[in-house]
Amino acid sequence: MSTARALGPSGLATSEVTLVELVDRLVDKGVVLHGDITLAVADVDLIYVGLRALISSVSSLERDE
Amino acid sequence: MLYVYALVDARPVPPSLEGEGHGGAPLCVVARGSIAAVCSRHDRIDVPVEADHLWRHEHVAESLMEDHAVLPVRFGTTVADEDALATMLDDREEEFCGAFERVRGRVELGVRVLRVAPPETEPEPSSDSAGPGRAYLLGRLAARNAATSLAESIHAGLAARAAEARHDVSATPRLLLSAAYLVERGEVGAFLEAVDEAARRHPEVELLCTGPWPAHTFAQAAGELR
Repeated sequence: MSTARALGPSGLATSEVTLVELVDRLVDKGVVLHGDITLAVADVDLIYVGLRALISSVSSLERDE
Repeated sequence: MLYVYALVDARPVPPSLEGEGHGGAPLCVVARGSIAAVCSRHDRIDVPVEADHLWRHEHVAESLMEDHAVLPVRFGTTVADEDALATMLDDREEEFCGAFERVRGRVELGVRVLRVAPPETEPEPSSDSAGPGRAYLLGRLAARNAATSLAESIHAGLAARAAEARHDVSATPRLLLSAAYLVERGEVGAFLEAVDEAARRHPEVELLCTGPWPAHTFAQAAGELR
C-alpha cells in the first residue's frame, strides 16, 4: 500500500504538505460515530493555527527551477 | 473501551488484519451484517493530535483499502464497548452500505491551489469622479472575481476526471482552492496528468496534489455531517 504523497509541481515541502492534508482529513472528515471524540478542543484549535501557518509558508517558498 | 479506525465492507470476505493499533494493541473486528468495524481495545487511551498517532490511524485504514471498500472513522473516536458499537452499526446500516458503494474501487486525491505571487491589489490611479476609494474597492473586487473564476475553472477540469468532487473556493490572497476528488483506481494516472496540465497552463499558481488516500472526505454523504 502506498503512503499518501505530495505531487506539487515544485516538489517542495512534500512531507509537510502531506501532514497538513492528513490532519485536515483525520480531525475534520471521516465517519462520525457519535462516540466520544478524545480530542481536546484546544488540540484542534492549535492544529488549525498550525495548518494556516504552514499553508502560508509553503506558498511563500521559492520554486526549485 | 474500543478505539475505532475504520468501517470496512465485510463482504464477500471479512478483512484480514495486519499491523497494530495505538500503543501496539492488536487490531480486532466488531462485525454486524456486512459491516466490520476495525478497532483496538484499551483500558484507557490518550492519543494527542500528533503525527505518529495520526499516521498510525491512517495506516490501519490504508492497509484495508486494497481489498475492501473502506470508510475511515474520524481520528480520536472511541466507544464504550462492543454492544454500543454494534448498536451504532445497526442503526445506520443503510447509510454505511450506501457509502461503501460510493467509495468502492475508488481513492481520494486532494488538491490545493496556491498563488505563487501575491495578488496585485494596488489599484490604478483613477480619474474616477467618485474618488480613489471606489477605484480601490473595484480593483479588489476584480482581483477576487478573477481568482474565483480561475479556481472554479481548475476545479471543473479536475472534477471531470472524478466520480465525485467536493471543493471550497476560498479566494483568500494565497489559498484559492481546497478540493477533494473521488477517483477510480484505474484513473489515478489520468487525473495526475490533468493536474500537471493545469499547472503548466497556470504558472501563476501552484497545485499541490496528495494521495491516493482512503475516501475520508466522501465517507459521509454531503449534508450528512453529524
